[in-house]
Amino acid sequence: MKQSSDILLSLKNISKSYNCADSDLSVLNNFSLKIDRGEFVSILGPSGCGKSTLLKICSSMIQQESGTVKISGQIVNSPDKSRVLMLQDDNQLFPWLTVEKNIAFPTNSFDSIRRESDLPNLLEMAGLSNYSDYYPHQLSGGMKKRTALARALAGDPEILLMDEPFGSLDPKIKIKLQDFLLEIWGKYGMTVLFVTHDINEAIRLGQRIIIMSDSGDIVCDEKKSLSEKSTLYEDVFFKLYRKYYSLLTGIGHQ
Amino acid sequence: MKYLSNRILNKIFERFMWIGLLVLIWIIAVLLGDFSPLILPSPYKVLQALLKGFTEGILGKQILISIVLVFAGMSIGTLIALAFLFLAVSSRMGDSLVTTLTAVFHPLAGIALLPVVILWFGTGALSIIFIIIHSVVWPMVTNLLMGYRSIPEPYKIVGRNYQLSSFKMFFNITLPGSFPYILAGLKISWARAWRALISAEMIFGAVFGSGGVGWFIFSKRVFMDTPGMFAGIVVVIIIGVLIEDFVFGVIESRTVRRWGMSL
Repeated sequence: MKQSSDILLSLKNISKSYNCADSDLSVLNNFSLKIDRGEFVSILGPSGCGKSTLLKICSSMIQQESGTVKISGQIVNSPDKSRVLMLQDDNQLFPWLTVEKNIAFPTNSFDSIRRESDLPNLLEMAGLSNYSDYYPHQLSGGMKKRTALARALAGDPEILLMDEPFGSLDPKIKIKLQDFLLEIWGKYGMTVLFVTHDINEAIRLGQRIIIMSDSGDIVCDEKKSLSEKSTLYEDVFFKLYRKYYSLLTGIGHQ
Repeated sequence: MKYLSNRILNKIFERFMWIGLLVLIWIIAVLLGDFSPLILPSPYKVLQALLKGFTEGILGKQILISIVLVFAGMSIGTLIALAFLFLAVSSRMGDSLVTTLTAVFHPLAGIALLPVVILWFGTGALSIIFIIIHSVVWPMVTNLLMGYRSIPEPYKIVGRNYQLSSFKMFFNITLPGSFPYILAGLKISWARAWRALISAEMIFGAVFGSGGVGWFIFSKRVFMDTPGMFAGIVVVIIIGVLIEDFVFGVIESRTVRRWGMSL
């Protein structure tokens, strides 16, 4: 039995529908979920199952029609700096600010959430020390992602809500960024909800894997049964891959 | 840096090349055509009239007056346009009001307003500034609104995520995010303001005692001083090109080009 104090994010009976062509399309229906503090949760599911909607509701960027979102037991209704939403788009970075100023944006917007002195550390950790005065359009795709991650960290969030952040990258850069994300997760210990279409990525990153059906229900929610050192090439990894693949494709063809 | 300066040098060279070609055609037309100097004076006569305007006349002062008037009108017009933008983005009713005002007044030529403006403000500098403001505000508002609406949703999400106040959202995200459109709006507004100014000056006469460049051209017409008229036109063109190339060129290379946000 979980101690209630471990639970950071709690969604209860969330429902959300969109109005499409004069009819309501329900994406989440009485959806409930609890996430522990410090967990890294991968969320897989077919397109349109409500994964992105779920993240937007968690960040209060959109409002649910019914149900409650609680952070540390408190109901939340409006966006705040403790829950940073990261979208797939590269253009979340501001083109008119340099890398350094983009990363410092959360600290300038507030009364220094994370100390200014952390900025050089963030730049260094993201491997961007030599690019601090570059503008986003001068960076590669991977560097943009690292800048966006460093900016998200500068605000010292409790929860990172990531919507397919590495979707458009080539596999080599993707793996590097996954390692980078795991490294900062290990260092800062924030809670991560990571939405992806990539089963490999979900297994590699998540401590806990959630699979949603295309009706928006949870069909699998389990702790990853892999050792820390398991790699993409081990049998146990493939077993998990096959299991999730069949769950996902089975759902997709229903 | 070297690339930038080479680019600017190339641009200046090309400008001079084309202008030189036009002057050459002008000279050939004067030499070969049997035009009366009262219809088409030679570039040399125009240059002489230009120098005379500075040395014997008060062309320098008139240029200064025109520039002061246009910048006063543009500054006030831009501030009004920004206030309209703020109003339009703050509420749905505000948006509806600004959109309606723009639809009503944008097609209205400044020159059509002149009789009413003379009734209201007389024929002084105030009337000229009013006409310039009118010619600046509406294209500026249209561009600002277009810029605001083109700001990608993710920028706004970041702003909301960090709980920016409406004020900070406006200055930290809306303004820089729509800057390419603001700059385009400024360029269009400048061209319209400069034209409106010259037309208004020709009609209102000698504001501030001596009048501006428009009045210089008009007074030369009264005395049938064709080289003088051409000299006035040359001044209007030179100021227009200088502002376009140097003022806007520099702003553009330091902002939207540097940011990779060129339209």
